[in-house]
Amino acid sequence: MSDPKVKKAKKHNILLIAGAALTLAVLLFTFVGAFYTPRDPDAMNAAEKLLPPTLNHLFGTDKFGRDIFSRVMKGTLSTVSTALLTVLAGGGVGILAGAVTGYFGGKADAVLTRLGDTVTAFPAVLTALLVVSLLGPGGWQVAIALAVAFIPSFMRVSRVSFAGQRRLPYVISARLQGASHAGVMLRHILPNTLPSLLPALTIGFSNAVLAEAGMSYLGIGVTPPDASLGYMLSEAQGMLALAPWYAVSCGAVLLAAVLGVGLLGEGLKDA
Amino acid sequence: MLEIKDLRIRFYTRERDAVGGINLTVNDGEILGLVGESGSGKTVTAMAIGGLLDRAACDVSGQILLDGTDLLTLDSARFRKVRGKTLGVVFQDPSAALDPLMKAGRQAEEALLIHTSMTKKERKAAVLQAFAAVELRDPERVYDSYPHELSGGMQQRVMIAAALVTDPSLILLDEPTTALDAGVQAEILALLKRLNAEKRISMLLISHDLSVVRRACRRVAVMQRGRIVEEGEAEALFSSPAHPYTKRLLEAIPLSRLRR
Amino acid sequence: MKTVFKKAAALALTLLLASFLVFLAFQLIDGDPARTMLGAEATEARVTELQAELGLDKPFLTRYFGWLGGFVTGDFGVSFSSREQVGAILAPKIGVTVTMSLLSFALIVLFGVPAGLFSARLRHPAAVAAQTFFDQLFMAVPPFVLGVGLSWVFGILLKVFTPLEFPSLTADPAGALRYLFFPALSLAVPRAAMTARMLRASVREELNKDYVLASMARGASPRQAEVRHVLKNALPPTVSFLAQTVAELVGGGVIVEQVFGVPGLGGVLVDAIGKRDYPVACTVIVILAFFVILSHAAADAVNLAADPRRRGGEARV
Repeated sequence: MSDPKVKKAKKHNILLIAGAALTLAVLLFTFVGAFYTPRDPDAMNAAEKLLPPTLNHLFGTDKFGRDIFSRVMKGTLSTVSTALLTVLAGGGVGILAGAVTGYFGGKADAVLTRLGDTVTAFPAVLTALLVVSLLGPGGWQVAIALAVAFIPSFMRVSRVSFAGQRRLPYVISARLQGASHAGVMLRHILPNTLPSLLPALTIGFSNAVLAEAGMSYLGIGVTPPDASLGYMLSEAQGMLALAPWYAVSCGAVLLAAVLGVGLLGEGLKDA
Repeated sequence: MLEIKDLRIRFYTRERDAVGGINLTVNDGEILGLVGESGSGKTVTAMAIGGLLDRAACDVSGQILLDGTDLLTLDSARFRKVRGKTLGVVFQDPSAALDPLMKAGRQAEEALLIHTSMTKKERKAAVLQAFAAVELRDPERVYDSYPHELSGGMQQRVMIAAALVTDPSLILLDEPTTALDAGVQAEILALLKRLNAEKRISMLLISHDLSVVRRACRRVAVMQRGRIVEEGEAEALFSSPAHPYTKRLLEAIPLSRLRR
Repeated sequence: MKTVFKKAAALALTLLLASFLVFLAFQLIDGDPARTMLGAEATEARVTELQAELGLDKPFLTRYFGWLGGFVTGDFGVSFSSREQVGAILAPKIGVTVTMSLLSFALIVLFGVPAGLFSARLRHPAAVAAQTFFDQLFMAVPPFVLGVGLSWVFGILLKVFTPLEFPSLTADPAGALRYLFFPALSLAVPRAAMTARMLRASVREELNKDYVLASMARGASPRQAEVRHVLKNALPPTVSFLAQTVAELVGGGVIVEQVFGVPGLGGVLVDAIGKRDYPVACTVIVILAFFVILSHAAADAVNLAADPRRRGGEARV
């Protein structure tokens, strides 16, 4: 009977590899799409409309004759970059806020936590809708709106970590040696909290992708000509009977992005 | 009562035997102490006797004869008939060994529920009797309490009562006092000695703490790295240990505790 | 008893805070709805007149409490676009959304809980790897993507229902339920997977605990020990998770409703935001938020009732 420990190690590798591969594929797709697409995503060509996937048009064409492959590349770029922005902004602010309130505690901590809990009561989509109403539609605005909606969850994770680490011996000894609060937080506590922050970041990214796609599906968010995957999906829904491959490719890319990051997160967790 | 012959246990993930061919006897009505440091294989031995080892993870050979029946040859269904009825087990940490969401009384009854067809009232009566036997002051109240409402000592008494309730022939106790305060330890050990004397229940008391074993047991076996290195009457063993390992264990006990 | 009061007070505070935040948000979005309604060419006189009519000339806090009071009594104001009572507009939609959410929740529990329980005992490494993969796969399915797929397959191809023609709940409940099943399923799939995963992890953790061993030492079979002890110990984290799921159902529901053309609160909300109909949008958001806060509180209450330790008992014997 082979050693169960070895088998376990192999299993994790598969997850990590699969997740990394998928995520990398999506990111590559995005990155390439920033500079090159096989055809102009918005160019309409009545002669070539409603073609199923061929070598010429890898994902087929829609009812306007546009090359779906190029469109999906563009859409993925839009969705992924918005999601990345959301995580960077929301995560950055949230983690910082959580670190400060967790570390220093006190009244500010209590107030902010209560505030955070209340915001969490609103589903992210609702909060984002509210903020977008305030700022108006558009890619940046959606990113900021989602970032705001995600701040509380990052804050919570970070706060718990920092509050928990604050009293540990190594922190106290660092302080005794003369390190400033900021120094301690940056150089000592932060590296120790990374393991718990990483899952939050990966999950946050998946959620951001879904939220952005959802909002642009509703027509709130990135608008044409800068379409994102969600908006394209709503277009695709209108052409389902005639050109189902449009919807399938949009959906597949979304699924791949979320699945890839999810597997990556799982693989990292056990690594 | 209990005879272990050439018991050998090896886990598939390890290089050497956890238990490397031991022989042990617990006579009728006696308390045998099994001493050793962590990793000596004493807990594994106890789990093997209780049939609680994960058979898929290890290789077991030898014999464990309880009143003549080799437990190792029993399939799980038949072992279950023995476990909890003729054989009782008391674990180390009573706060972990009790289901936090179930009242103490109901947990103590569990063996009766499984092995007998007593009615609810009969079971409660039996448990209350067992609670009285373990010197719990307010059996009714304990019956209706949740584990977290009881002190450590009371929790352990509940565990002992739970084992007593089916009138077992042998009780295994794996580090029964390790998780308790010193004063409570002494009380529990005294209780065990009394139960052994009054009800003639044989006991296998496992501990890493020699002073505990000394207070409660008449015979002692010392285990090191899966083997029994010395065995004999407690007093003799403690006053003139033969094996160097036993000597080392004795030296590790602070003198004040030894004198008690 | 004291804990109950404290929790109730915290709940009331959160509800109040939530309503205040929403009201404030809309104040920031458009502090002068009267002007917006009348357009850029309105005369000052007309604007002032409308402001007075809508009660907009009063200070912020007064308006907030007035609005709050109205909310409690059922007067939600008047829609900017249609001039109808907001309450009247929303009434029929609430039923639809609630039905869909309940259906979705039921599906999540129905699929997620048994899946989690049954798969918990499998420990073979290959099985565990497969479990993790399928977990992630099902969890990654975006509800609205699944929705598009389902509405295509079952609506257009198989014609089980006719998309965009939603039968009235009161007139044709069976037809309505059949219609709602698919959006509910879209929402349920990823969350059922998450529930199964949580429950499985929880059960596995509990199976390692000593009290399971103790129960087996008394003669219980592994399954008996599971049923008698593990289940109720493993449930609390899952219950909390299910409460959180309600929040996601509400959010995702808005979008999925659009996919299937379900005439619920989601559609009203999106419409209202597009038309800048703030009384409607504000009311819908507050209602949805209240719904979420209340389910969190309910889950909290269930956990409290189920776990005697949290009721604050100590060694009293």
